[in-house]
Amino acid sequence: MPVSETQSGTSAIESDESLMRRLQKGDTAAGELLVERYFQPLMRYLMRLAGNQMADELLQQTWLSVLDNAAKFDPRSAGGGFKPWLFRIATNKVNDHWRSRGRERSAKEGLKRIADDEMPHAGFRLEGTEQQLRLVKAIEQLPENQKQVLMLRYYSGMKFVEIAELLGCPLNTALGRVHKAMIRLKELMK
Amino acid sequence: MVEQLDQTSELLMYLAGELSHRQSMSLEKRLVADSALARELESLRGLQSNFDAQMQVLDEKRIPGQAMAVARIARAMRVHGVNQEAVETLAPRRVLRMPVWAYPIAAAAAVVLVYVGWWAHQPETHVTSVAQVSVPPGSLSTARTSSDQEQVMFAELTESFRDHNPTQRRSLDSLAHVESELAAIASPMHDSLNDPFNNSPILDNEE
Repeated sequence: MPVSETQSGTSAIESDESLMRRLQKGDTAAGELLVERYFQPLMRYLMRLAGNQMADELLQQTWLSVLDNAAKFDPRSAGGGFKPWLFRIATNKVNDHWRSRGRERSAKEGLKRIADDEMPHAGFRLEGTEQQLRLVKAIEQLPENQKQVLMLRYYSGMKFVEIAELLGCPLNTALGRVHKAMIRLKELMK
Repeated sequence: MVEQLDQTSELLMYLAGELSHRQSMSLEKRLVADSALARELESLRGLQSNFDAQMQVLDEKRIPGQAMAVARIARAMRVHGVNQEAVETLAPRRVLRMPVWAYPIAAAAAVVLVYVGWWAHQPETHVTSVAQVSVPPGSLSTARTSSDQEQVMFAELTESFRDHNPTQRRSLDSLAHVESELAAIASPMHDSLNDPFNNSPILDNEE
């Protein structure tokens, strides 16, 4: 984990905003540190929304978009700092992906993905327990809009107000989707 | 908060700690008084903790291959950055030499100039103005010009010579005088040619 010396002499983790400032100046090593720092939550978020196979591609696209838009990042106006900004970009990438594929193709992909999950090559999944696999499938069965709000909330830690703003829906709608999604998951996991 | 929240939304916001202090205080008072509302809150709390617990189980193991994936993305970012720099170097931003508003004005001026140029080269077709120009009596215009336009030009030139150059004026006067004498001589000849039975003064002289 990257460290920087503070004035008191103790070491501390360099903040995301500090790394972004370095990235804005062209320091790609700072970008690499950010990729490493957010790999797990961002990859999981993308996997839950777009499936394992697309998650890799979307993750790379997200970070390239971060690089393209680094100059526009302003921690004071980014609504909570780097993490919500990053997930905002990732969410836009997922939405682009969904739009470009279309409903019919997405349905086919979904079926294929479910079949792939049962195949031995998904090493990560193979190590999961039966409960984990059931939960993954239950999440996949959620409607896209419910799944998106629920996963965005869980992995990004964004406020509900920010999520509603990002998705362009009323706050009540966003909260209603979260509620319905949690009830549905509970039912599916019984 | 601008939007009016319904009851479940308000409870979810409360659980998430996203209500304002005033709203939280108000809700807590209602929770004390309303047992059904309190039960719903507990139900939502249970639902939320159940979901969080399941997700923690799902994500308890790290995704393998992080180092490779990070290295691949970092490499892609470096290549992308280099490509972006190359594109910016090869195609620098075009800077306008003049203000933006100058271009439409220049275009309009060009159109006007083209029109004026075209108009200036058009042949003059209006003859009515020719009739209004007074041709001085005794000028050579009737004898030397063949069209109305030339007559007018000749008359104007004659007038300008008369006004500005005394020597030329005298020459023109003498020319006009000669012209009138020639016209007087030619007139009976013309009449005799038209009337063969009339005696011509020229023939008389020959006799």
